[in-house]
Order: sequence, then structure tokens, then C-alpha cells
Amino acid sequence: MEIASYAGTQWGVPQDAESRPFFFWRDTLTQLGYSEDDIDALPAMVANGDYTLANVLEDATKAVEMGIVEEGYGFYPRPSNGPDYAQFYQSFGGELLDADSGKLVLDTTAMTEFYQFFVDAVAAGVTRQNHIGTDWNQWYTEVANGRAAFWHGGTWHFGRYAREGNDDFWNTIQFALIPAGNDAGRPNTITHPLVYLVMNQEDDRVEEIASQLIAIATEPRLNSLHAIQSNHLAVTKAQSNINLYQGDRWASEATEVLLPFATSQPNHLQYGAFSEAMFRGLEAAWTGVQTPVEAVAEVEAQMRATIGDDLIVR
Amino acid sequence: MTSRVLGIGFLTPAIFAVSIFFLLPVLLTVVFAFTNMSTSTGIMGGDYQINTEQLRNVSETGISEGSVEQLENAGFQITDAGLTALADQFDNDTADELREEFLGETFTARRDLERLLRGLDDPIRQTRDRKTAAELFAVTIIGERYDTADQFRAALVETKIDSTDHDVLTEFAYTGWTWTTDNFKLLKELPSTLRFASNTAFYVVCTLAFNILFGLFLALSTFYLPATSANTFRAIWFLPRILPPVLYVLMWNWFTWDNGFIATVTGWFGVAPQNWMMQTTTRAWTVVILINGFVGASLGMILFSSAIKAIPTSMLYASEVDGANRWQQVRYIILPQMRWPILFMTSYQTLSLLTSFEYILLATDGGPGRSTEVWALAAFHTALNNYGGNLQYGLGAAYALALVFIGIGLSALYLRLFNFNELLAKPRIEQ
Repeated sequence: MEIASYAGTQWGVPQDAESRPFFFWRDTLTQLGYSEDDIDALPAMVANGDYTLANVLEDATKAVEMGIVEEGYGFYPRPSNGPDYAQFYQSFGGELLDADSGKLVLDTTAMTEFYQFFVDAVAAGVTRQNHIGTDWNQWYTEVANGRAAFWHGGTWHFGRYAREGNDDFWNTIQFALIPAGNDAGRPNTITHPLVYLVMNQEDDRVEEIASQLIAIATEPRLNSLHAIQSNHLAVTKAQSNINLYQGDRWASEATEVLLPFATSQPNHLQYGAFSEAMFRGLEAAWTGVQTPVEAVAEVEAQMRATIGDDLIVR
Repeated sequence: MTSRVLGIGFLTPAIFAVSIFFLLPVLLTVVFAFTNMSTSTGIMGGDYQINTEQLRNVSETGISEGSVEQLENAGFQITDAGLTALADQFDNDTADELREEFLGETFTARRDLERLLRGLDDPIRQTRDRKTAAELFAVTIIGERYDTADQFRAALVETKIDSTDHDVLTEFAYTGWTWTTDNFKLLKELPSTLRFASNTAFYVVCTLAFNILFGLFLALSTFYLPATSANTFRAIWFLPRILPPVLYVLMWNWFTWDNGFIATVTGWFGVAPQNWMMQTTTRAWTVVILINGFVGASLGMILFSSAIKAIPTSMLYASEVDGANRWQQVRYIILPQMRWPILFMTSYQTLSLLTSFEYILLATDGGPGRSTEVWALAAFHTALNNYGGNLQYGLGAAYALALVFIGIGLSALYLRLFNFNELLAKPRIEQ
């Protein structure tokens, strides 16, 4: 509920939760020398910080060198801007919002290291330099069928992969939190719920009916039905007792592995501008137009100029 | 006289169209550029409100500490005045019940008070009514919404906040847009401004050169072909212009993408598949210039072809009798008579290239790494495209306004440079 409130007012009611996990292709890991047990233990290792982005880079490099995946398919990130990239910023110790002042935070060290990770991935040949802008349909088909070793996405991908011809998620793909990048950072995932809002209407009765409909739809059983059908996660604790939700392996495991660690994007008026600037900087570093340090310097200048009043630079 | 009236009559639709589709947008761009309009301010004006989020930063406005404290600690209280108003607007039973059980009680958040109103024996049932009723008991202005500055100031007076802070607080509380020149200061400060400007200059100069030269080449080469094959070639080269831009660029994507045509064909010769559009900055520019160049060149070709046709053939025949070869014909007869069409195409294309971004948007979207982001595309991205929905109309308009000025400046320059007056002079025979 907190997620849909701002400045002491409850503006909406969450419709569903989701989460954005890191994915591994099991077969690739086996060929890299991981046993079944190792792979099953991966989510826990990621959560403990024993398996980090450095390990991802190392394994992805090996996978490319051994020819298990093609060059550029070791680590296959999302091809456009989205809430996902803030996760990697958090992996390197970045904080999005300062809890005390309610201002956005630009942690230049974390930002530089986050950019550097992607630059290193390009240099190692595990990620393509021109990856950004890849067609989404192509991207889904490739990750659903094992062309990439490591990638990240959202919980709703579960259903999408099945449509792309992968009926056997559990035996082909492993998922975990986004691994930590260094000691300063933490394994994490971002949840980005959609919310129900009732708009101001001429007729009060219409508003009343709308809010009653929302109340009905948020009832645990009905909301579980929506969650299972759309591969989203629950919004109330009560749903974990609903048979349908409990019985769905993806919903219950994803809830268990991901949601306890999930944070949300800040409810801040300027977060859109922040996120856009962050991604533009990443893009400049990733494509080699600027070095990470130059890119961060420009992002800093850009943010100071546009959202300076709402920003803390560290 | 009648013909004059008739003329004005004929012109009216054109004047109407020009005002609506040209003058009005320019005027609005000027207006928007001097405001801080964005999705957070809206475009309709705003209310006066300080919410709990803003309250955390209110001390930065420089108001006295006493005022900050007053703002923070006030809340809602069940008072006699409030109850009288409640009895007036709602019903006496509710007011009496509140008076008996809750008189003097305070609430920090409106939510708590609303919950109380809902739980009474004589509850207020409608959500909206509860909100209205709760406001009657407000002793704080935090989270309250006032329609006008006067109402807000009156509320400040009521909460006994030091009057020296009223001006600052009113400005701080305003949620709508204001007039400002900050957009232009920002443009001056932003490191990306210079890069977008040089990108634009590079793009316009290269594409223009390609347009004109290739258009000329096509016109000249098809001129010397037999009529039917000339028309076939022209029709083929005209395709880029008549194709819908989305389809045209989509074909370029298929052509250059790393599982596309070039990658497949070069793959047969052992070249690793790669993206021929986005791999490097040079490639991105080449593709962008070609995409726009072919579109412009086809227009140039049509215009130049008709201009060449207008040259009296007797001159060409005479030159052949004198033993001139093709190159000499082009150099000494055709090109000198093509001055005006070339001038027209150059100025027309400069101005349209300056403001065109749709092909770049569809092809590279300014990438890789903003390296093909031109000024007009930056205006679009700023004002109308943001993943999180933070659209900055004001700043985007400032970008666009700069283009308007550059366009006007360049037009004036072209007029002088090419001596347009001479082109527009009355034919001597009419003087």
C-alpha cells in the first residue's frame, strides 16, 4: 500500500506486484562445470553475496571462450531503458532515494562502477557493444531458447518464454536476485506494481461504483487469479494461503526468492528525469562514446542542471 | 476591384491554414519556451499546496525556523468553530456526536480524522463529503489544497505564520507553471547542448551535399538516357520519397541489422555477422545520411530533371555541332542555367533537414550513445519522450525555439547570398 501513497495520501491500490530477476541458462552452467546441486543453490549464493556480478562476468567470458554461446551472448541485458537498470546501480552500492531528506541520490562511485561493469562486459566480448536497441521480439526468442548464458528480465517473462517455445522453464532456466556488484552493494530486485486509480468523475456514484469494483477485484481469490494468469505476484499476504497461488510453482517460488528483497522505484516527481539521464550515461559508456568517468561527469552535470534542487550527489 | 475581392477570397483558405499550422505553432513554441511547463506543473495553471514531501525541504527556502515549526506541528482539531460549520453543511447529529465525544481532540494526518468520521454512529458516508468535512477542522495547511493565492495567504494568516514568509511560501506552494528564462540558461549550461549542435551541423552539411550532388547526378544521367528507361530509373529512385517513412526505415533495418541482408551476404565470405547500422558511430552516421539523402535526392532529381528539360534543346544541338562532349555540355550549358533550382533545393533542404528527425528517430533513435542525436530529436526526446513520463515541455520548446531562430537566420543568409530579388524580379518584357 505504501507504494501507491505519496505525501501522506493514499492515491491508489496496487493491482499486482512483479519483480525483476536475473536468469541463468541451466545447460550453459552445466557445460561450464556446475553440477545440478550447484545450480539449485545459486539463488541462495546470490542472496548471500557469494555469487556476484564479477562471477557473472567471469562465467560469461568462459562460456564465450568455450564456444557454448556466441560472442555477445554471454550476458544479454534488456535492450532498452527501464526500471531494471537501477538494479545494477544498487548492486554497486547506489542508493536511489535518501530516506531522511526524500531527495534523489546520485552516488558517483556506484554509478561509475555500474557503467564500468557494462564496459567490461563489452570488452570481454560477452555483451555486444550495439546491444541497446535490439528488437524485443528477437530478444525474447533468443533468451527463451538458450542463445544467451545470463540475462535479466521480469517475472512475467515466465509466460512469455512458454509462448516463445520453451515449455520447460524449470529444467532449462534458473533465476535469482540481481547479484551484488561489490562489497558496497547488495543483491536486489526492483518491483514496479501497477495501481488502480479512480479518476474524478462528474457523478459521485460512478466513483463509488468504481472503488467498489476495485475492492472486489483486490479480494485475495480474484487477485490471485489475475496474478497466476498474468504471471505477476501477489499484493496481499493473504494470497499465499489461496490454493491456486500456493499451488503455482512459479508464483510461490518467485515470491519466496524475490519479494523479500524487492525494493521499488522512488515515488519522486523527478525520478523519470533521473532514470533517463542515468540510462543515457550508461548508453554513452556502453557504446564507447565516452569512458565511464566521462559519462558519469556528464550525467552529474545534466542532473545538477535539471533536477539539482531534488538531488544529493555523493 | 472584383478581381481583388476574388483574390482575397481565394487566399483566405491559405491564410487560414498558414495561421493554424504555421504561425500558431511558432507562437506557442515561443510561449512554452519561456515557461517551466512539464508533466509536474501541467499546462493549465495550478493550485497552492504544501504536502508532507515538500515539508521536508521547506527550510531550504530560507523562511524562519519558527515558521517551519509551525508548519510541521499543526494538524487537525475538533473545535467549536469547525463543529458549527459541520452542523451547517452536514447534519446536527454528526456534529453533536463529535462534540460529545471528541471535542478538543487533535489529529496529525487527515486520514485519521476521515477514518473517525466514517466510524461514527452517524457516519459521513461519501468519501468526498468526508474530505470536505475533514477540512473544516484543519488547523494546518499541510496537504490542504487552495485554488487561489488569496485563499492560500488567508490560510497562512489563520495559522499565524510570520507574514514576512508569506511571499516565499506562496511561491513554494504553487503547483502550476511559471514564466521563466531558466530554459535558456539550462541550454547554455548543459554539456550535451554543444554536442547536439555539432551533430546537427554535421548532419545537415553532409546530407545536404549528398542530396544535391546525387540529385544532380541522377537528373543529368537520366537526361541522357532514352525516355522510357529514364522514366523507369526515375520511378525507382523516387521510391524512397513515396514510401511511408516507417516502412522505408524498416527496410533499412532489415538491410543493416546483424541478422539482416548485408550481414548475411558478407557472412558468406567469412565476415562475422555485425550490425551495419549501430556498431560504430561512423556507420550510424553513414546510414543516417544515406537514409535521409536518398529521400532528398529523389525530390532533387525530379526538380532538376524538369529544369534541364526546360533548357532549349537548340542550345544543346548547337554545342554538339561545335564538337562539345557531354561533360562540356553539362559544365557550360546545363549547370549555369540550373542556378535557381539548385539554390531553391539548397535552401529548402537546409531548412527541412534542420527540423527533420523522424528518419533518425526510427533508425538509430540518436544512438549509439547519443552520437547521432540532432537538435530536433533532442527537442522531441525532452518534450515528448521519457520512460518515466517526466516530459519537459518548456525545455523542449526552448530547444525548438533555437531552431526557429537558426532557420530564420539561415533563410536571410540564403536570400542575400543567392540574390533572391533577382529571381523574383518581373520579367523584363513586362516592365
